[in-house]
Amino acid sequence: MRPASSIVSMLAITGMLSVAGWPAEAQKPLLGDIPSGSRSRPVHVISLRDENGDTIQPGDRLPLPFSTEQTCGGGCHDVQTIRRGWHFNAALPGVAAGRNGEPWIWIDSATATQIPLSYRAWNGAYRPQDVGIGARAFALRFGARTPAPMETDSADSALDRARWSVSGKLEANCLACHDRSPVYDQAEYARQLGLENFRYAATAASGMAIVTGASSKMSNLFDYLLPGSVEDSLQPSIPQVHYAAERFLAGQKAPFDIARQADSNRCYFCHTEVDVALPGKERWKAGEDVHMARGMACVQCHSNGLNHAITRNYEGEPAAEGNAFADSLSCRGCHMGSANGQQATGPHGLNAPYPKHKGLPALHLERLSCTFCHAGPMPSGTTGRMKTARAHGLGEHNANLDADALPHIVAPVYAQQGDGKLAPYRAVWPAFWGRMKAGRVEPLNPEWVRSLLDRKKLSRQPPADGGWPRIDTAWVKQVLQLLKQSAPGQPEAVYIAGGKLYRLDASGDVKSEANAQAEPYLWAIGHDVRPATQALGANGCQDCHAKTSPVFFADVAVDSPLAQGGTWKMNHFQPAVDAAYQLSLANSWKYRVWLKATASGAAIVLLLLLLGGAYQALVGLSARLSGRRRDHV
Amino acid sequence: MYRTAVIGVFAALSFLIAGDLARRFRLHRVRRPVREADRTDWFPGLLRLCVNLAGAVCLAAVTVTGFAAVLANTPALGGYLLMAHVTTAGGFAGAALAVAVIWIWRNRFTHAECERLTGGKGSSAPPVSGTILLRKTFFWIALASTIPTLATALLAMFPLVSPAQQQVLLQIHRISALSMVACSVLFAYCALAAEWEHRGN
Repeated sequence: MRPASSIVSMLAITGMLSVAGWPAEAQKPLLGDIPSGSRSRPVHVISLRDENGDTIQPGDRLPLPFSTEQTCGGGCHDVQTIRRGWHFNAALPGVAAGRNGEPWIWIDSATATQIPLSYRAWNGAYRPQDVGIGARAFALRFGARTPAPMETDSADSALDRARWSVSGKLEANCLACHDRSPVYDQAEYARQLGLENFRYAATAASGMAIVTGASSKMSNLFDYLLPGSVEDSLQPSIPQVHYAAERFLAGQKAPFDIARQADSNRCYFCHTEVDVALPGKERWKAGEDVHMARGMACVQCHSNGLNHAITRNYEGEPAAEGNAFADSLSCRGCHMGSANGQQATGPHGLNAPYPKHKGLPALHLERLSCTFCHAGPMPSGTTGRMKTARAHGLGEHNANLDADALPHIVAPVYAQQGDGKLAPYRAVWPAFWGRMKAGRVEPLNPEWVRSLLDRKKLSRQPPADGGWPRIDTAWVKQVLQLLKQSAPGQPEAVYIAGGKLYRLDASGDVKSEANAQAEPYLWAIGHDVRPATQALGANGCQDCHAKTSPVFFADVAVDSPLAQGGTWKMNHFQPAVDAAYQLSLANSWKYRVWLKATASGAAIVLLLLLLGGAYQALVGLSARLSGRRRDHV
Repeated sequence: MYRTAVIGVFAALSFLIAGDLARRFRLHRVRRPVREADRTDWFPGLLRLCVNLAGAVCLAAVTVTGFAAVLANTPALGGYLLMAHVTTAGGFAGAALAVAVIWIWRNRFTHAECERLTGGKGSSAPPVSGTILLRKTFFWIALASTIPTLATALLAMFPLVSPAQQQVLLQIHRISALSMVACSVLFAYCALAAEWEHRGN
């Protein structure tokens, strides 16, 4: 190439890059995202900013609530990067779903509905927008347990969109995890969401201020910046912020007790799970994860960098792909060394104990996840029920602590993972109304179904305990007929519950049949982790290899609003396990002691015979060396 | 590699035995009628026959169940085949002990055999049968191989060794079992051949 043409080419490329907005330099990390190298906790004495980025003067007559995204992200933390982290990215396109996690379970006792929802593409869960549940309805139900930012989406109705401007959007709530202040109250956050005070919730939860009033009482035209326009009768209900003057230092700056590593108590607010019998009873009788009992914190294993791609720590998770350190945070990686050959010293220099697993055939490590033996409630002849913080509002004001309160989460179910290993799972049996479209059941919006049933006085009175209403197939038939009549020409209406699909046959009667979408939604149990002495197998092989072994032969309770729930066998969830073989193996176990005794005795006598022969040979050799002659040696 | 070794050992055994059988049939050894003295001592003979038959059957069973997975080139011995292997192994352990007890006296090495084995030139020693010498040699090697074969399987059944150590035990088990089977087959064949030679004489 000639020099002149080279220069022209370079200029052209430079010009194209300029037009394309090629960054002149890489974006510099923000002040708070530059590790100082100090292990001490960074001090946060900061100005509060409202959602427009203006500094809040707490002494103002009508101060605004502070915005977490503006206060934390104004110039210190890269909120846009953080918002792509695991806790925030469920609804973002292109994010790997990973294995099934705990869904958001929409319950409506009046319509006998219990449907798992998730913005992630998890097998068995339904995307809220596909069920006609808009972001506002979702935020009102579940916003208290998600730190993710939420604003209107395509499934919101026109009314919902109007209400978003009244309530404000839900921002990423950094404080939910990072505020270690003893006065930070996520239950207050939940209460504020119930009042539609979305933009006020973080402020109220922080303890920096008291928030009064309720956006839910404001009209669709309410403008929080112009409270004077509200009619007099509603003036007392206008959301207002009353900052606590004693929480501010000179210069109107407020000290926050912010920790880089979230305190486990913060995690527990959303990630607690307990036996149904425990809420309302004495906590000291409950067990605890062995790691927590040994003084560890959640974030020591469930860790992340600035991108907040917090590790879930199952083998093969996308976040650990190509990341040896993240890979070492799984059970196996920490205790046995990761697949890439990293030594089992444990991350953070924790020196995790190497499990000896004495007497455990290696096959078990190939076919079982670590959690199979070491996590979740101990199995028995029938599955039990669990409550989780997110599903049952544990820790919130007025949470229904009744053991029968919906949703009903069944555990432990020993099922096959994607990699073929068996692992313990929780299960929730879907129950919802839908329409058959191209061989699949598309769930109907539970709120629409409820309004329809309300109009026809068919909705059921929810029982006081919060459990299933009393329904039968006659009621199912009535509702199916109603759904058919309400939308002529629409696909066939069906009801899924208790592992079955219910539909009307040609004669108008209800018939039930098996359907893949009626199978329970399963998500793995990771905690509480039990130590070796409490693991399955600690009492011997017959913990699992017995005729009545719960891991293979237990009854899985089928949860159904209809009376005939019944049970399924555990083996239903273990397609690669030969139940007949497991039974044969269990039956043969009683002979194992005889086998051991016979083989041991034979081996010992054979050894003695061999030693006797060797003795004779040595005697002979000695005789030969000493010149003596014998007939036999 | 182990599969190749197993196939090689079985092929070599077949070749050796077939070759020797052919040689013996070509020599037209005449079978001697059963002597009267043998008839009078019928119970020990019957017992020996039963024990030997039981040993042979158990060996065959444990060999088939043990090596079937290897020969079929499946990743590991498991499922019903493993259950059958373990079940037959219990019987084999008892049968092996009985066979050892029956044969151990007859398989002591004589001075002359020791001389021959060690390459000595003893003048006063009676002539030594090569078949009997081989029988005795294979008996002792089979006996020595049986012990680690049993011990490795047994150790893995107790909560004494880790899964990684069990893999080492498994390798020892596989090697010693192959040696045991090969030597047991050769021992059995030599015992039969020696009997034929004895009757032919």
